[in-house]
Amino acid sequence: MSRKRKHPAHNVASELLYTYRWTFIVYWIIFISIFLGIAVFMNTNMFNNEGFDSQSAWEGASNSPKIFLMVIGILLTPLSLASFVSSGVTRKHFVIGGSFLVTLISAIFALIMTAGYPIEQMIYEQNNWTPALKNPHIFSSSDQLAGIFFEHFFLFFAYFGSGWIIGSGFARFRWQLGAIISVASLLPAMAMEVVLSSDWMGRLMQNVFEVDRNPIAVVVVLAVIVMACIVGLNYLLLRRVAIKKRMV
Amino acid sequence: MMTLGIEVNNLQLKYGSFAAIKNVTFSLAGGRIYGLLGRNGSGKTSLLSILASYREQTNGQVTIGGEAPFENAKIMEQVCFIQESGSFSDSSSVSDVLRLSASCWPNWDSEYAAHLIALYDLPLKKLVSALSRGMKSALGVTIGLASRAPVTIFDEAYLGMDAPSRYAFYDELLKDYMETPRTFIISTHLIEEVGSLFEEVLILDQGRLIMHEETDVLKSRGASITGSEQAVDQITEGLTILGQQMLGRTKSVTVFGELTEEHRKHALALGLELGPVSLQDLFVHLTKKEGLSNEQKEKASRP
Repeated sequence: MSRKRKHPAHNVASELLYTYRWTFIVYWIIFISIFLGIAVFMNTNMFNNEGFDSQSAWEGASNSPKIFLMVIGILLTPLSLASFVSSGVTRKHFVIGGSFLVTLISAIFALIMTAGYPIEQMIYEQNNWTPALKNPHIFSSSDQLAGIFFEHFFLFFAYFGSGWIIGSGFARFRWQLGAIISVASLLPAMAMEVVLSSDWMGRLMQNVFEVDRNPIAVVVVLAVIVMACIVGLNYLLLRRVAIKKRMV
Repeated sequence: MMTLGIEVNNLQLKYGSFAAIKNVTFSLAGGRIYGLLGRNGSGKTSLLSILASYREQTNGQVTIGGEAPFENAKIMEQVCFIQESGSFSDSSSVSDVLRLSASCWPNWDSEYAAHLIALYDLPLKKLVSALSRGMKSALGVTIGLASRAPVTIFDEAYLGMDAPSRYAFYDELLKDYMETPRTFIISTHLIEEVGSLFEEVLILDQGRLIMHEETDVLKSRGASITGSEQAVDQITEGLTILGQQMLGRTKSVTVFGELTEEHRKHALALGLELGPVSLQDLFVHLTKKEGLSNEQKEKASRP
């Protein structure tokens, strides 16, 4: 019976990934199918080329994975914590393993989003358009792949993690307090938007408040601090939580 | 396989202002089968939840193998707690639940799990939500036994099973215990069925431990006396009567308290039959509301 065992946190991450594998795969099949459909539609020249403003469609698409990851995050504690603790895993290892999962999935989602930009650029160039970015980002064109990856990675982590805090809040407290925490739980996601000064938040900050983005090194440090806060908040919520008969 | 002893000192658990566990103290040696008995709401599940680190006590100390179990990875992976309702997500399949268990329990025995899956005819592809109550119980029992955890706790885990499945479980538990001794704690209301497995019995009542005894010693705390009505009435005068039955002119009385040698000789001289008291009878009368007073319970719990 002596077999090599994974570290409990590693095991939690592996098992969660296994559990959610089809959810993620099916989501991306649907997501990419929709955008392929849009690309085919555009290539059939059904648009009036002169009236088309060449705005990047892929840029606006990142909202969907952010919300999707937030929903998965909300489900993470209610669906999985009891299963792991009843299998002899500590809450601490659950939080560490869950954080590995959030990091890995955010990186995979960010890679897919990063890969979409050059593909979109290729489609646009075939139609003699130049994809234009509507909102501010830490990247300024579709070929700055590192910037695209890191911006999406930080945002996906923040939204996934904020959802996780919402779910943990409801698991830890009664629903009344859980509801209050769920509102406060959006703060880390908003904080990440502010740190990155991207998307609608970036536009708001730069156009209305005239606040310029910090140098990129500062942005990265602040983003990592927000990520650490998300993990820390989850641990604070879950470290002494009682396992009820069944959460979901 | 290593066995772990359990020490509980002045344990208290409160839910708000309600005290579910009140100053419970006991010590369990490793490698035995313990029965935990108590009426609904007596604090059994709360006590077991603390042992399994499902929740933290309000006051007092618990040690398993000399260490506090709560959030202690070394101890938590040695304590398997199976409840009837289970703690697995309804959206998981049976095979997913077994896969998770196999990955988490360090002593997981895959061959034994396969044997139990076949014994209970568990449908691996079905979702937990689609299982009958009996099948959910069978899944819990399979995990508990195959975990080979040094401390394995069943909290009414087999209640949903039909009688043949329950007896198959008792046989498996005993067989497995003989082959790989470990500490079993079994909480149950089916005392008549499972009572013969217990080496020691703990009885909780309203959050207090009112009895912790070797099963044989506990059974000797009472006796059944059967014979002619007149003779039985004569011998039981002044004793605490737990229950009585009449069949024609024959009377059978269950009394609480150890019979003295003088009583025994007198009873035999009167032609009465003396027998042991059943665990269930003792339990019922120790915990019923109009049963023994707290003073009597305390007296009864003293060896």
